[in-house]
This record gives sequence, structure tokens and C-alpha cells, in this order.
Amino acid sequence: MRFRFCGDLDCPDWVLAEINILSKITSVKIKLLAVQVLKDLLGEDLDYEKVQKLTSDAKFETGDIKASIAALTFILSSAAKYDVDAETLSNELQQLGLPREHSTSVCRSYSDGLGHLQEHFRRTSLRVSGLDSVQWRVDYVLSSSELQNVNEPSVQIKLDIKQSDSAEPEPVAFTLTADKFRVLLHELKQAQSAMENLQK
Amino acid sequence: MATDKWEAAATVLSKASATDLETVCHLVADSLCADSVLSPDKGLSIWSLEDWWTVRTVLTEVMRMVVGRGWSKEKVIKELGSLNDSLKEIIYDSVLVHQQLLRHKFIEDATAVSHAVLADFDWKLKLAMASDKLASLQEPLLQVDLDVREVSGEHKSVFLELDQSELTKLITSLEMCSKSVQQLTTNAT
Amino acid sequence: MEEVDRIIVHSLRSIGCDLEDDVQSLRQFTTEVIVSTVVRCLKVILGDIDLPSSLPPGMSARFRLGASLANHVQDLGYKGGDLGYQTFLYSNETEIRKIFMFLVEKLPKDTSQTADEPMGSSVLLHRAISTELGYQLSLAWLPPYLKDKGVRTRTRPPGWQREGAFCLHHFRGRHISTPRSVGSLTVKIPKELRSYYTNHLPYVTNQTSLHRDTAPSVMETNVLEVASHQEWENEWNQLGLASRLTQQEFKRRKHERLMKMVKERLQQDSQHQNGPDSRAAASDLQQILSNIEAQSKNTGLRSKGSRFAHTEKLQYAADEDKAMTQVGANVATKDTEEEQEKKRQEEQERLRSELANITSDLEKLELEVRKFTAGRQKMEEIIASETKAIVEKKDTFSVKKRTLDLLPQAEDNIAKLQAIVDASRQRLANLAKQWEAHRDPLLEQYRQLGDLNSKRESEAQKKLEEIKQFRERMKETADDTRRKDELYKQLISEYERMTKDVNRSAYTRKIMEIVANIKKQKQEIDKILVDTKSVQKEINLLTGKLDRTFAVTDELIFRDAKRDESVKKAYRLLAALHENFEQLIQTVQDTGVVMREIKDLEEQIETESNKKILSNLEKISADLQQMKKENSGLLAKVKGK
Repeated sequence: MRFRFCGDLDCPDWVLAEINILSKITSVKIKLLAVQVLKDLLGEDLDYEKVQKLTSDAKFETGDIKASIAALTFILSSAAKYDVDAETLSNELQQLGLPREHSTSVCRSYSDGLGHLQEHFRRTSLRVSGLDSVQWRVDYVLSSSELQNVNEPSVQIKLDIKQSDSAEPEPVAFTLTADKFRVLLHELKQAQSAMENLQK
Repeated sequence: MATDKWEAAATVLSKASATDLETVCHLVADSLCADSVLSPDKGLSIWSLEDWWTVRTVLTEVMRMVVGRGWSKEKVIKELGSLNDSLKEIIYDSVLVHQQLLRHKFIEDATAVSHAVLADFDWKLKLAMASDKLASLQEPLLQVDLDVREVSGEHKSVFLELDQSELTKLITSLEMCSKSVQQLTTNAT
Repeated sequence: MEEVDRIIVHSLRSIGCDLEDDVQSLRQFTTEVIVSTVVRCLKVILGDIDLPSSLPPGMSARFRLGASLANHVQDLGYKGGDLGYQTFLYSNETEIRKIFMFLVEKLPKDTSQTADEPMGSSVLLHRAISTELGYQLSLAWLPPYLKDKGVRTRTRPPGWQREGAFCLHHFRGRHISTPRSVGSLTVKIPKELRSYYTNHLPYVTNQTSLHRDTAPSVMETNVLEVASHQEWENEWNQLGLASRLTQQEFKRRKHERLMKMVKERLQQDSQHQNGPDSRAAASDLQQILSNIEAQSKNTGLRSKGSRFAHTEKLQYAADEDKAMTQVGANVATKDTEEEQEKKRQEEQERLRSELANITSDLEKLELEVRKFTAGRQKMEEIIASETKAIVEKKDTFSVKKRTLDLLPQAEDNIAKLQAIVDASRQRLANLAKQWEAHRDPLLEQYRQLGDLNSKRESEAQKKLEEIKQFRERMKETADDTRRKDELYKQLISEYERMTKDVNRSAYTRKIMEIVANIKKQKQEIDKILVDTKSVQKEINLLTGKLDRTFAVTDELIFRDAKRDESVKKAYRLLAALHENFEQLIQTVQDTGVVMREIKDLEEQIETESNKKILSNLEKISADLQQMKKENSGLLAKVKGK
């Protein structure tokens, strides 16, 4: 069998096994659990006490709790990754053996969180570096040791570059002659128009 | 101020024929503009190695004076001392030919005094199709490579990846800068 | 019918039915093909339905499949007569055609619609990327030494790709010099420049130290030129045109303005920082520059030294020299360290106090100097006012003296003066007249010139506006052209993709042909109808004539028959003749009817024979046999249990 939420691949065996555990708790609780997992995926902290409380009446052991959270994390993130709609996800979960009420309640929280989740994934996708801020200054050079009358502007640029999410922006500063600056700006504009063409 | 040295070089310079001197002048000017090492092959047929160094130094100095200090033709002719007048004219003319380029080069040098300089840059537009987080990302990214030459002469590569909003930010900021550069530019030809 | 069949076969192929290449009409369809294509159509129309795509082997299963197919087709709204399993299993051409026509119409249109709309370039791009990636993935691995600088070229489809980060290098642009304005006749190139271009300028490929830098250098030089030209164009459009100067003049003005601005700024700043005493020194930008230069030369000549020490040196050169000699003397005496220390401190104290004294002295002196300057200015003013007074007094004195000289012969002198006054008055009047005479034409001229000037001004303004408009329009047109070019390119690429798709033109041509055929047929039918009508008319005419002739003859002979016996006989014969002919006509008409009926029947026979009844009957009986066999087998099984 191939599942769309697994990217048209077979479902991993461990998920199949955990689905059995997931079907032990009630459909209301699984919805709340899914909400918690979504929160975790969006970068907020998981409230373990609440999770403990949610799963207490199903007499889950710690291992079961871990397993169910892992399974839900996989299902929700993978479905969002492959842009699966809630109805298809629900169908496929039922095919995997999750009871109907459970899958619809999981999918209800999923369809609520899909937009945020994808936006978050888009934002946190790998980036080599990014621009934090730009500062510039234009100097007017009057004279130099080589040349008595220069009378040319020169540009100083400082770029703050983010190397990754956690690190502090790293400043890079350099000077340009007016000619080089013209070429730089012209080329950047070309790049921008090419980029806009891509988005059409 | 360097008249003595130049006076001494006059005898050396006189060894060359007019056409040879012209060629050498252009070679020295080109190497000065391009910051490249000048091969002495051309000069060694006329001069000894030591003389060649003298010739090179004197010609370079003449160029620095004419372009940098704005010496007139008369001044050059006077400073070059007892050299044959036709040879003096050849030297002055060939410097005039290169005046624009030399000036350009000196401006670049002046900009590079005590600062890191942007030596070159390159860019590449990429379309990120997918990532580990999303199967269809479709995000255009611009990679800009900045080759920055430090004061010490070392080259440092800076990789900058910009998405659309960052690029727009950069360009709007630089546009403002461009306006003031435009105001301060007087000889845009 | 062939046209219809061809269209049906084409659309069936386009939805993915597996048809042989030589299948051209529905007559060639076997039962299996019919069933599989109908199932395929239903799947495309309804999406998810559970039907086997090929004919099952068991008879009963076949029957069920046929029945469910019939049900599905009827659910879609098919209204062409009764539909059952037999329609598919024991097919006849016309019914199958009707069903396929219905199904083809019901096929979803979205595929053809997307082909019609102009596709966005991003869609095209994504498609191109995925095909390219797919192609590259299907290629076999190649060791790096088989690739030319990491680039792999291929012939089908033609193209190349870079594999790995091998042989990559930085983009390095160097300044490149090329001959300028050689082609234009208006610009005169100096002799030495021309000789440089012809004799000494190296080729562009030799100007960079590394050959691979040539292309980047050329590109960069070009971009620089484009960019600065654009910038200048922009500036000229925004500011330059309105200023109504020539380009050179505009540049010169800008340069002057800029220099003035810089100069003023520098002056302000130096006044701000250095206080009043250096104001005189800061009066001129050039002077500052030369100052800076002089300083830099000084620092070059001397060894190190802080700026403070340096300025001190300039101002108190003498004192410092004195101090230096003192320090030198101290060093020479070679005292103990403490003494030296002490002495040094004393020395320092002394020097400090001396410095303070000198500074205060200097300040005092400065104050005095200022006072003196102020005093001198005041004195100068006084002197000036006094001088003025002296001059005035001298004037009054000379006038008074002359009057006194005139006093002795007062009468004469008065008369003379009177005469002079009169002459002066007359001359004044004369001059006034002359002035009036000159003034009028001049005024007139002035006014005319003023009018002309304002007219010219407004004209220039108008022309300026026009120029601006033209420039704008030029830009717009250029933009438009670029846009249209892009659209054209996109459409071309789409068109190239379209041609292998559904060929609309073939369809439309076929439709046009069919319409033309129908028109021709209709014309022929009309002609035949007209023929028939004329024959009918003739027949009617003849019958009418016959009736009338008979009536007249009948009356004539009947009148005579009363008198003459032989005539009576003739009358009887006439009646018999008439009756016989009537019968004859009747028979002819009957024959016509029968003939028509025969034709109808023949047509019917034709259609019936088309329905393949015989073969179908055979099939049915064979199937029946098989069913019976299956049933008996099943019965045997049941009994065996």
C-alpha cells in the first residue's frame, strides 16, 4: 500500500504499531493530544503534565506516551510536508486501522493547524545565510596621497549577515568606488527582476 | 625633488630608440593600471637589468606626477632635464593616453586606503524546489558572493543568501545611497 | 460515419484506451475492446468506480458486467432506446456508435481547457525543471575525468549540465580598455591616442593576467557602462532637461555647485572647531588642502611624533629647542637616578609653569592685539569721516570764494548769469525734446522684444513638455515592446507544445468539410424535390386534360347516340375504353406503391443484416450452451456435496 501522507510510500512499521496504541484513548483526548503535538511542531514547548493528564485514563505507561507523541508528530508533520488535505489523511489513517472517530478528530486539529504548520516549515527550511540589516555611508574623497584632486564619492557598506537562526548576525563592512557601486546596484536590480519573473 | 635621479636616468633613457621607448611607456602604464608584474623581456634587449629598473621607476614616477599632481607638459620637460626633447614628448604623450585609466586606478587605490574593499561580486538566482520540511517549497533565493579584499591584502569570501523580501530591502536601501552618489558625481560621461 | 468514428477513436485514445494503431472505425471493435473502452470512459467520467477493465472469463460474470455497464451509462442520462447487457455483449454498430458519441460528449473537459488557456510561465518552468531533473536522474554516473571541466554535454536532448563542484573559480572583473569613438566621425581622436590604438593596445584577451578572467572583465566593463549611462539618462531626464542647459554646461554647473558646497561646509566646520584665530587660515579650501599637504610632508620628513608634539613644535619651536638643549645637558651630567628623577620633576614643573606663563602671556597678548585692532579700526573710521568733512568744507569754500569774486560788478554778472541760466534752460528743453524723440521708438522696440521673448519662452516651455512626453512615450513603447516580446516567446513555446496535443485545426477542418457535404446534399435533395413537384404538376395537368376531353367526347357522342345506333356502339366502346384506361392508371400507381414498399423493405433488410443478428444469435446460443454447461457443472458440484 502507498499513502499520500507518507509521500506515496509505504507507511513505516513503527507508525503502524503505534496506531494501535493511539486507538486506545478516546477520540476527544486524541484531538487534544494532537493539538499539543501541533504546538510542539510550531516551536512552542510541549506541556508534559497536560499530556500525562490526557493519557491517564487510558492507563498509558511512559513508553506508550512517548510512542503516541512520536506517531502523531510523524503523521502530522509528514502530512503537512506533502500537502495532504484533511479528508485524504482521515481516509488513509482509517485504512491503517485507526478508528473512524479518532481519525476525524485528528484531522480536525490537523486542518486547523495546516496553514500555520506549513508556514512554519517554510520559514525554518534550510537557509545558508540571510540579511539582517544594511547600513551605508557616502564619503566624498577630496584628496589622496596618490592623487591631488580626487573629488569622487566612495561608498561604505556594512551588512549584518545571519549565518543561521541561533547565531548573532555577523557584520561585514567594505568600501566601494562609485563605479563598482553602480555595477552592484545594477546587477542586484537585474537579479530582482529575474526573481519577479519566477514568481509570475 | 627627484630631479637628480631623473637627470641620472636621462642617459639611460637615451639608449632607447623612439619607438622602443613608446612601447615601453605603454607597457609600464598598462602594468601600473592592471597591478600586474611587468616582465623585463622587452627592456632587456636595450638595457641591463639595473638600467631597466631605473627606467621603470622613473617612468612610474612621471606617471604619478602627471596624473596625480597635474604637472603640465612644460614642467615635465623641465624636470626630465637633459633628455632629448623628442623622447620627452613621447613620454608625456603616452602618459596622456593612459591618463583616464591611471586616474581610475588611483581612485581605486585611494578608496582602498585603510578599508576593506569589495573587489568583486557574483550572483546566482536559485529556485529552492523542496526541503526536508516541505515537499514543494518553490522559493526563489538569490546567492550573492562578495569577494572582499582586506587591508592586509587577503581575500575573504562572503556568501549571502537573500530571499525576495531581503533583496527588496537591500535594494531600497542602496537606492537611497545611489541618489546621494548621483548627487556627488560630477563627471559622469 | 467515418469522420465520426475517427473523432471517437481519437478521443478514446486521448483518454488512454489501448487501441491498435490500425483501428479506424467502430466496425473493427470487438466485444472485448468495446467493454474495456466503455469501462475506461466511465472511469474517466465518474472517477472512482469498481469495474474490471477487461472482460472476465465466466459467462455469468460477463453478464453482470454488461448489466452494470448499462446501468452506469443510463445513470449518466443516456436516452437512446433500451439499454441492457446485450448492447455491449452482442453489439451492433449503430447502437455502439450512439453510446460512444454520448460518452465522448460526457468526457470531462478540463484537460482540453488547460490546453486552451495560455499557461503561466512558472508552470512552464516547473514542468521544464521536472523533465530536466528526471532526465538527469536517468543518466548513468560518469567519472570526473571524463567530463570537460565538470561539464557534461549530451546530444539527446541537446544540452549540458554541470556535475559536481569541479573547476569552479571566482568571478574576477578587471578593468578593460578598448578603443573609443573610433567609428564616429564627429569626435576627433588625438594623434597619439590613435597610434596607441593601432600599435600598442593589447587585445582584450591579453589584457587580463588569467585567460578565464576575460569574460567576467568584459561583462563588468559593459555593465558599468550600461549602468552609468542609465543613471545619467535618468538624471538628465529629471533635472537636466528642465534646466535648459547643454549637457556639458549642466555637468559644469553641477561640479561648481558641488565644489562650493564642499568649501562652505569645510569653512563652517573649521570655524566651529578651531575657534576664531584660525578663521583667516580657513578662509579658502585650497589653503586648507595645501596646509594638509604641508603637514603630511612634514610628518614624512620627521620621524614619529604625536600630533600634539607636532603642533607644539610649529608654534613654540624656539622654546622647545631650548628645552631640548637643557634636557641634553641634563643627560650629559650623569647624575644618580634619584637626582635625575628629582631634577626631571623640577624641570617638568619649571617647564609647566613656564608653559602656563607663556600661555597666559599669549592670551594677554592676543587680547591686546584684538583691542589694538579694534582701536585701529575705530581710528580709521574717524580718519575717514574727518577726510570726508575736509572735502565737503573745501567745496563750500570754493563756491563761496567764487561768489565773493563776482560781487564787485554785480549787475553785469547777474545779467551774464541770467543769460547763462536761460541758455541752460533752453538747452534742457532741447535735450528733453530730443530724449522724447529717441525714447518713443526705443520703448516700442523694448516692448516688441519683450513680447517676442515671452513668446519664445512659452514656446520653449511647450517644446520641453513635448520632449518630456516623447521621452515618456519612448519609454512606454520600449516597455510595451519588451512585454509583447515576452508574451510572444511564451506563446511560441506554448504553441510548440500544443501542436502535438489535440489538433483543433484538424477537427475544425473536418467539421467544415462535413458541413459542406451536408450543404451539397441538401441542394441535391432540393433539386429532386423540385423535379418531383414538376412531375406531379404534369401528371395533374394531364389527368385534368384527360377528364375534360372525356367529358366533352362523352357528351358529344351521347347526344348523337340517341339518334344513331352505330354511334351508340361507339359510345359503349368509349366507356369501356375509359374504364380500361382508368384501370391501367390505377395499376401503374399500385406498381409505384409496391416498388416503394419493396425499397423500404430492402432497406430494412439491410439494417437488420447490419445488426449481425445471425452471428449474434450464434454467439448467444454458444453462450447459452456454455451457461448450461456451467449450471450443470454447478449442479453436479452441489449434488456431489
